Amino acid sequence: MLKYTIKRLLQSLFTVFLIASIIFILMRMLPVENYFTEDEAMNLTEEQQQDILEAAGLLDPLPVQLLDFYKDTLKLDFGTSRRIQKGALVVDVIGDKFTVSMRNGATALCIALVLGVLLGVGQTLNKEGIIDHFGTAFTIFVNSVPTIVSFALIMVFGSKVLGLPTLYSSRKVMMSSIMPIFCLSLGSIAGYALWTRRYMVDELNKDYIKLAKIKGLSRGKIMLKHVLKNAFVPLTQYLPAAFLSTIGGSMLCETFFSVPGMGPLLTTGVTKYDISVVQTLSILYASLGVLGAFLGDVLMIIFDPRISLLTKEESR
Amino acid sequence: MKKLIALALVMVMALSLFAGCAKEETTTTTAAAGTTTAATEATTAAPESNVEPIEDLILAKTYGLETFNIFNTEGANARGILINLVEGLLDNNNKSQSIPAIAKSWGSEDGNVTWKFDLRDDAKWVDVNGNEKAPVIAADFEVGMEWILNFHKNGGSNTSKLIEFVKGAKEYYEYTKELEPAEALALTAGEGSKFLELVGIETPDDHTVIYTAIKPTPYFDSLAQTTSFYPMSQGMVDEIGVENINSMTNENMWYNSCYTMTEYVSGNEMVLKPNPLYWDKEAKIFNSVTLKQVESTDVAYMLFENGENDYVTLNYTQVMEIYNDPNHKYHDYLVEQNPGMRANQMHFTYDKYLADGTPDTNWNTAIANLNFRKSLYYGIDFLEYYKRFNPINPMNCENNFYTRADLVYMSDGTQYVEVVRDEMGIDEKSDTKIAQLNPTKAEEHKKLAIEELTAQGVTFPVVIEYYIGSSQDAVDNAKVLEQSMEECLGADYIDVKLMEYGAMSGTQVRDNGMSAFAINSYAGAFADPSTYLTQEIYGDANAFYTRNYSRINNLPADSEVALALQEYTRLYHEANAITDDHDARLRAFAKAEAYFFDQVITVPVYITNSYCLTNIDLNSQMYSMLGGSADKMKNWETNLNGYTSAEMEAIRASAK
Repeated sequence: MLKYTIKRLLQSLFTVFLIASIIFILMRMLPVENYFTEDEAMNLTEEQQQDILEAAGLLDPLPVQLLDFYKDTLKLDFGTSRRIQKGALVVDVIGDKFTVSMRNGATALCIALVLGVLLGVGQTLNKEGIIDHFGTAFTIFVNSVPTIVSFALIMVFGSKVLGLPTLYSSRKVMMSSIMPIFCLSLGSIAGYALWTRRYMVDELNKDYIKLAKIKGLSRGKIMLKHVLKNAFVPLTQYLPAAFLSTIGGSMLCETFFSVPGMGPLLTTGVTKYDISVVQTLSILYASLGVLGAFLGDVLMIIFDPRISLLTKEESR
Repeated sequence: MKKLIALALVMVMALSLFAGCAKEETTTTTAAAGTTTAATEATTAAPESNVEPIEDLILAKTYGLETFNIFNTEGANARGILINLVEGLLDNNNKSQSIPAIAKSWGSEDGNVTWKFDLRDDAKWVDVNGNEKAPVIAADFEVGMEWILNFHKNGGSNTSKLIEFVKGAKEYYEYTKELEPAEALALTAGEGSKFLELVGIETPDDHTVIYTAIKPTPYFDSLAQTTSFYPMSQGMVDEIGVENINSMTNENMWYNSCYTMTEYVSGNEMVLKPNPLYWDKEAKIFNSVTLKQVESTDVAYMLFENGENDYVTLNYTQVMEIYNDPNHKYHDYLVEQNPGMRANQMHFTYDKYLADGTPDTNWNTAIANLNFRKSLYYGIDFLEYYKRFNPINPMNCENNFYTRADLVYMSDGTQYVEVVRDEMGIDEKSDTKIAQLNPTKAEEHKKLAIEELTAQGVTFPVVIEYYIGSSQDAVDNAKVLEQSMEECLGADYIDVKLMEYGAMSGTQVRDNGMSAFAINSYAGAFADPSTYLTQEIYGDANAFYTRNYSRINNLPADSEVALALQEYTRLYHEANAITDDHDARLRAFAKAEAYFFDQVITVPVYITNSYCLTNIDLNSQMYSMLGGSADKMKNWETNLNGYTSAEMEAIRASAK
């Protein structure tokens, strides 16, 4: 296990290094003209623009810039934002947003997990019945209606009928988070319901279930202890990644409800040419991605004893 | 058992992580924010006729705030918010004239070279909770100017006006640029400093600031209301630390304008509270102002409907929906906005390239032909295009000039642009016909252009590649324009092709000279035609439009277009040299501007003029062509029940 962990860790570090380098090079390949807004371009002379680019190190040869980037990253110096929050350290820009996104995302994930799995179980138990048809219709609806339209419908219903705050407010966190969290969980509920139903139906057709029935095990025991448990194993692999990805927030949902989260940060960073923000977020997301994959593997091992990390030689 | 323990551990970890995040997110709320009233409850837009002033204003904005240091932004959006927190020497009124702010009186006694500003003695710097930090004194204006001109402190932002107009500003900027960052950061505007040695600013006492201009500048007072002339307290710099000024927050910055920002949540909302020590005790200030950052005008509209927003700009679809339905609850509440600050032009590219990087010879030859340009000038009927911005009164979008109307006036009160109109010999403004439109002349010039250009090998229809952004509004606007142009001049004469940016940014398209034309404008910075007209002069690297859009500097100096622009530049400089006679100066500029359009270097297109739903009397705002002032939330008249179209018209009519 230790050997496996070290090996995965090294692979992960290399992956993150590679992603950070590629993003850095791609960002530097963008035309430097994008560094200035139209207002700045109108008010700064060409000479001033060159001075600013030079001071920012953007006119240095690419290998020199890359080396500086590695040095700064090793010192955990991620630089300062120059557009989103001018002059502020990137870690400060991310700081508060991180917790907001994670809180909303994790709550939505928990809700989606509980409701999605329950709906999936209900659909399986009531196969071809009313709950199954409802679940299928719900899944189709969620996946076919454009997200922004469903968000708008929820916003209108929530604010006009239920009297919820239209937008997120830091003074009414609980009430104003209801609609964004509901929107965030909607897609995942449908996803978990779909996959739970699918895996449970698969399991129900297996021989060991037939044997259990013949042995006289109660339906409830079969469903809970055998079918659901085994059907849940494939889902567990993605849970850590899903949980960690909540840190990244949802661009659409957070922008729509004015949630001060991480969601819009990366795209805003790219469009506003806020290099330090984009690079830091790339490193963060890449790290979370590889960590999520690693934790997923570990969870799989815990839930399914048939899976082993040992190689064939070691297992002998 | 092992699995159960593992599962329990995972759940405990997840729950603890969740609990850690579940606390209220750290906002920059201060103690004062705790007293914030539920402004949303106080506001409603129910269509009633009684007037009920708003105490807690709520505005939805589609943008946030990138910095709290007003010196470090060139953006109008950020400035519009920050002028409520920091105040400069002067403000301006609805005629773009200077009015007192920190300076109570001002003037020049030596032919507009040195300008003296007398400061009021009751202006204070306060902290976010409104506690006094220091008086606003003359030295603060030196500190502010030093900060802007110090390359390593401010990165070049807001230097252009200082460098162009204030003696020694350029020299000091160049001096700081050559220093190491640490050396430059250590510089101050104190006694015996390099700054005071080089730059034309003096403070004989705490309440007098004297600027020395490079040349006689009769409109210097209008310059003095720009950000470049704002103050900064050395006390604040010392308290926050010179290296932290650009990242200062609402909590540690010092305020001297009508509000302090008691709460700031990036990407969400800002709450402003009255500055209790603001000098203008008579001013009408709101109990609180909440600025909500929203995703789009659609969300802003929804907030308005819910009584959570006091002003919303409507898009074309919303205007039409409300206007066409007499039973719509807002049918009588459609209010025409104050016209925009920009006099948008069709800026031609005279050195255009195709997507493959080769010169677009056909277009370049055609646009270099005066008759071709004149056929466009006289021939394009922009009425349908105007309707995209103002579907109800499209003619209110009409623009016939390069300089924005309402910017400068003759001594007798005549608008400068009316002098330009006389010079150009175009019709008076009417409600039915675009003044420059003349189909007969257009046809004559078209015939001549076809003859001349055919001889030069130009093929017809001339393909006009017009690059546009991907937003639906931009695409729809461009389609209407394409149709108007081809219908007016004939699809056999011109073929407008709408091109998408694709993977390129607008800046790349512009810098590679790929679009045959672009429609936009410069925003005026001071009350003189030169603020606009200098952008088009020949051979000057700082002339933004010549450098970036027309690219005429790239053409041979003896080409017809280059010669025309050289003549315009001569007329411009001739006018700019007149500094002792206001009217003569304006008449000379009018001559230059008229020549510019006689040569059709650009075609004037439109002034933004759309509709809104408002609980704010737009006429009570400091609406001016000098930018930003209209956003200063001071002395605004409001009505909780909204203003009807008729009420707003009546207010405007009585103000005239």
